[in-house]
Parts: sequence; structure tokens; C-alpha cells
Amino acid sequence: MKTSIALIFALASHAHGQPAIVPPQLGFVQDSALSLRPVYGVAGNFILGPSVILGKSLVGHVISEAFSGSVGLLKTDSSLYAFDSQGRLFASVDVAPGPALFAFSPAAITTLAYIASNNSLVEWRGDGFASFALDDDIATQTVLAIAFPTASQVSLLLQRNDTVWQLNLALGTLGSVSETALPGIHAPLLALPSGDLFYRDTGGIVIRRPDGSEVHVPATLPANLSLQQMSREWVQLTDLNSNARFAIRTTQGREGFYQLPEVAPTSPRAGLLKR
Amino acid sequence: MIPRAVLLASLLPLSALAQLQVFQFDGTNDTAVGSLAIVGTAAPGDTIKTRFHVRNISAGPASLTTLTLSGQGFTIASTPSLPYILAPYVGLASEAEFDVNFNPSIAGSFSAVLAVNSISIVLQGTAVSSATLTLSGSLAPLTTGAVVNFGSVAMGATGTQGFVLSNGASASVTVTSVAVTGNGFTGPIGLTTPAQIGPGQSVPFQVKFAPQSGISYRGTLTVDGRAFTLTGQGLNPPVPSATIAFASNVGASAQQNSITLPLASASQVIGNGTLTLSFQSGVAGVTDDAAIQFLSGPLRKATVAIAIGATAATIGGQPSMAFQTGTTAGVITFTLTLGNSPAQQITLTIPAAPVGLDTATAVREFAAIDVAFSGFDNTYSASQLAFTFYDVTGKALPQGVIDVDATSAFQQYFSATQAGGAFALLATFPVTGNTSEIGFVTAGITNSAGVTTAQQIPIGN
Repeated sequence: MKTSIALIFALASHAHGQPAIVPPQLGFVQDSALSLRPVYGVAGNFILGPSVILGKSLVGHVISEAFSGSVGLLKTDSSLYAFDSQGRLFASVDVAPGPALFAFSPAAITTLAYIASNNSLVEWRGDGFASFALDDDIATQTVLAIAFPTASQVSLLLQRNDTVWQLNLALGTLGSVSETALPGIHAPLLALPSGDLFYRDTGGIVIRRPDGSEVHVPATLPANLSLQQMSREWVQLTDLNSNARFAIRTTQGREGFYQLPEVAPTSPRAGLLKR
Repeated sequence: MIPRAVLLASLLPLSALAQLQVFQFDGTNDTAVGSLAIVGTAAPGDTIKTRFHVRNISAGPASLTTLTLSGQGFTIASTPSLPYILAPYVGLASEAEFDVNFNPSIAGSFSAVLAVNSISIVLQGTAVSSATLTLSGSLAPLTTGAVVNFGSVAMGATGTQGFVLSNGASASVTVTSVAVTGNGFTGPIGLTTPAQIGPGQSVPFQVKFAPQSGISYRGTLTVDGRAFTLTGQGLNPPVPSATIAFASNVGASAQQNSITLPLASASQVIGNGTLTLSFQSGVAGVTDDAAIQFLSGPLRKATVAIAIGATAATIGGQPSMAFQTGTTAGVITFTLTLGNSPAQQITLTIPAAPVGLDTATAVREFAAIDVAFSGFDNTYSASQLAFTFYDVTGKALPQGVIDVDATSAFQQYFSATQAGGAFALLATFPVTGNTSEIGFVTAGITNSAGVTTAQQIPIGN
């Protein structure tokens, strides 16, 4: 070690103009009222923040959302929005109606949205949106999830009969690069930027790591559910038949399944956002 | 004149001096009978038993000497042994009872003359062709006036009795009316009248008994004028006692736990109540931690319901209710109020604890290293931070332990936040030199309950 290294402590700012100690933010969730809410706290103690107002017209109209830890995408019936960690709007674009599937690049800066209703991909590049059409034959298949393993490649996870297939495409070009069967994996599923693949099995959720190892997270799961990325190390699990929302921690060695509060306290939580 | 009358009276039969009165008895009440008594309507082959009471309404004893009946379809079913001496009426025990059966063999109107000493009463009965009424699962016909007992049924519950109308004759019969009267009884269910029943055919229906209180109930099922008595007993047993049970009895911050409410026995009644949660902070100056809440439904008040036969209460409609313990030391109290039972409470103590670290990361920046951790301090007293940096070979850097007093920063944060004891901290260390030579950092944080150390946080890029 060179003796020239000097360490000087400073309680730093999390972001420009904000104090060094803040409420820990775990990510964003789509609540049962179809609004976007930040989640604060630590594992086992979750606090729902107030609905994020990306323009009041969005409250109650969020049909799909995901957050990488630094950037998020949100879909209403007619538009796609990109937002930051404080729920502030970056930009929006008009898109086809219906829900969307999302994926984040490993750096979690660029994002992709797959919109089934017109079989298209929309990429948020940090400074604008770009749209890509997909081969028509994809529209005839069920896209379960998407992944964004590199800046130029997208993976579609497709249900073909009883098997899930991973179809790898070069972003912006038609035709597949390769495809691989993923035996043993069942819908619903979710692909994270880390390469982790989430899917349901009996008695819980399985996290298949990029090296092929699997971690079983025991949980009593609702009959019908969906999975969304909530932040870098958290996944939201939504009970499609009730107001219940759950959170799965993906941190290696600290995986866990938790229930999110169904209702936020009625008192304003402005203090949570004053950073 | 007076002595002569007394002598004459002493020579007359006992009964001639006394005055008798006949009453029709319905099992509960006596109704005085005049010259005509209607015994009711029966089907051919049915038997209606009519109970009569005879009272001596004079001041002296009287003798019942004559009890005769003339007329088709009627018979005396039981009589006291005659002559029967009746004392002056003082109550039920001083009455004599005799019963008359009306047992028509064919449809039509029937009458008979009943003589009670010198009292003459015309009995009238009607016989109509009708279906045979039986209880479901039974072949024994119910005779008119039969009592159908629904047994004991808990308040709020419903007892159901099935009946069957059958036609054993060779021609169709039409049941024109079936009615159920009496508080607590409803029906007929599953039957529309008029109902034509072919030879050998049968028609089922049901009558329900739903008592609203713990008393005896009496009603009537009438089939084409034939009356059948319905009885039942409402039960009002207490709601069985419930126990408040935690999935885990270990109290600690940042935990998700759950509550169930097992009952001492299967409940015979419906019960309702509430389960409330309250929190008494153990941290001076901190009154509450809003994150201590139920995880579904209202934040701190859940409805409790008990179904008949249940061995556990439901909370918010679920078999169990999850809650989280927040990030503030103190005592969480659960209060169960169930029916009229006294409220019961159970507490879960969240002891003060050293800081709990949830995440700890270190990132190599340009000319700096950022160390971030998130966690909770349920004492709100975090003070000293201690960082030790190591090179990639695991050797501590010469700066040794870097101690920082962060008391005021934490106090400022905890006084303003609504996140309980949860916090995220970012510490930046400007570096002069090559940051890539720094391999990991160990961070310690002190509060009033102890010291927590995050060991060997690798420096990432």
C-alpha cells in the first residue's frame, strides 16, 4: 500500500443538496389502487410512501411499472413514462394500449418495455425513447418476460406449449440470434439485470442464479400472481386476486419473502421525502 | 223454609249441586267450550287427538259421572275413572282430563255429541283427501297435530327439516296450500302450491328454523288445513374463549410476525369482535412508530369473526393476521374484544437492541470511496461510527480506525423522520492515492444498546 493514500471522513450527500442520513428506500411498488408508491424501510419493516405524482392524471392509472434502483418505467394505457428514484418524471412517450413487460440493462440505466398489444419494444436510453418492431411471429406467442443482457441484445422469454424458451434478438434488427429451452422453469417469471431468473414452484419462489444454481424462497403464494422489479435487490409480487402485495429480497444469502403493508398510514409522510 | 232447603240439598246427588265446565286444551291454554267444539281437519286415516279439561267451578266438591260420545269418526281415547270427584277448581291439578280422537275413514264432514254429565257438546271435524306427510327419511306418516321437533339450534344458525308429501292413492291429489307460521320458522322451501301429486308420486320440501334468541319456539305447519306443530329450542351459548397466539413469541424490531386466535372449543354460535394494536414507545421523546401495523386491512384495528363450528376466529377475514414490529423499542399491545366477554390483552416487548444493519456497501469513486449502509436503530441513539480500511492483501491501512461522532447527525435525522428508527447513511472518504489498492472496509456503529460491526465490506466499482 502506498503511503500517499489519505482517508478523510465526511458524511456525504446521497444526492445533490440532500443530507447524509435519509430514510432507506427499497424501491417502488404499484399499489392496489393502481398508483406508484415508494417503499421505505428495511427487510421486515416496510413503509409505503405517498403516491408519487408524476402529474396527477397518472394516479390510479398505472397498469405496469418497474424500477431498477435508479430509473423506472411506468405504463398507463396510452403512455410510457421514465422516472427517477424520487419519482420525478424524465420523459414520456405515447405507446400502444395494454400492459407492458420491462427489463433493465445490467448497468440499470437503459431500459426496455415490451408492449404486447402491438408487438413492439420501446427503449429508454437516458435521454429519449426509441421504438423497435418485432417479427410478426412473436405476436402469435406468449411473451412471459423480457431481459436486457447487453445494450444491443434483448431476450424474450416465451411460452411454447409446456416449455419456456429464451429467444435472443439483436436490438433493432428482425430475426432471432439464438434460442434456448429453459426446462423446469414455469410462468410467471421475471428476469433481473443481474441475470437472476425468478419463477414460481410449489411452496415458493425459485431464484435461478446466472451460474445455474437455484435458491428456493419458501412462501405461501397466491393463486394468480405477477412479478415486477422493485429495485436492484427487491422484486414485487402482486396477488392478482386481492389487494395483497409482497416483496422478495434477492440479495445473495439474505433471500426472503415479506408481505408489504396493504395500506399506508393516512397521516402525511412528507418527512420521508424530505432529503 | 231455610232448614227444608238444606235438607233437600243434602239428599240430592253431589253432581247436581256442583257446576262443571268443559275446556278445550291446546297443550298450553284452556279455552272454554260452549255447545260446539271444532276439532279440526284431518286426512282420511289421520287421527286428531283433542284434549278436554273439566273443571268444578262451584265452591263444593263435584262428581264427574257421565262421559259419553255418539257419532261416527270420533272415539274417547282416555278418561278418568268414573265417577271422578272434582274438588273446587284451584288450578291445573284440580282438573280432570279426557281425550277424544277424530279418526275419519273417508273425506267429508263429521260430527258427534259429547255428553259430560248434563253438558252436551257437539264435536265437528272435517276430513279432506290429501297427501300423506312424512319427515324426510321416514316412512311413518305424520298425523294431524303431530309435533315436529327441530331440536336445539344456536342463535344465528339455521336448522332444516325436510318433509315429503306423498300420494299413495290411485288418483292424483292436489295440495292447495302449505303454510308455515310462527316466529323463527320459515317455509315451505322448494314447494309451490297448488301442487298436483300423481299416484305413487311424492314432493319434498323444507322448513327452516332460525332462532334469534335462546328461548323455546313454537310454530305451525299447515297442509290443506291440517295443522302440525313445529317446536324448537334456541340456544344462546357463550362464545368460547379465544387465545391470542403469536407465530413467534420473540420480540424484535424489523420482524414480520402473525397472530392467530384459536378458540377453547368449537363455537356453537356466531361471534364478532375486534383486534386492536397499540404501541407504547420505549424511546424518550418518541410517541409512536407508524410502521408498527397490521399488513392488511386497517392499520391497527382488525375485525374478528367466529363462525359456527369454527375452532379459531378469523381476523380481517383471514385465518391469521400478519403485522410488523417496526423499528422502535417499546411494547406492542394487542387487545381482543369478543362478544360480551371482557377484553383480553397480550403484549410483545421489543427490547432495545444494537443497530441492525440491513445492507452495507462500499463503492470506489474517483478519488473517493463511498461507504453506505442502511439499517435501523430502535433506540434512536446512534452516535459513534468507526471505519477501518484494509488493502487488498487484508492489511489495515496506516490510518487505523477512523472514528466519527455522528450523534448530532443522527439526532437531527431522527427528530424529523417518520421512518421510525430506519435509516440509510452515506459516508464519503476522499482518497489521495490509488483507490484500487483498498480492498475492503469494516464499519462499526454504536448506540445505547451496543456496537454493531459490518465486517469486510468489499470495495466495489
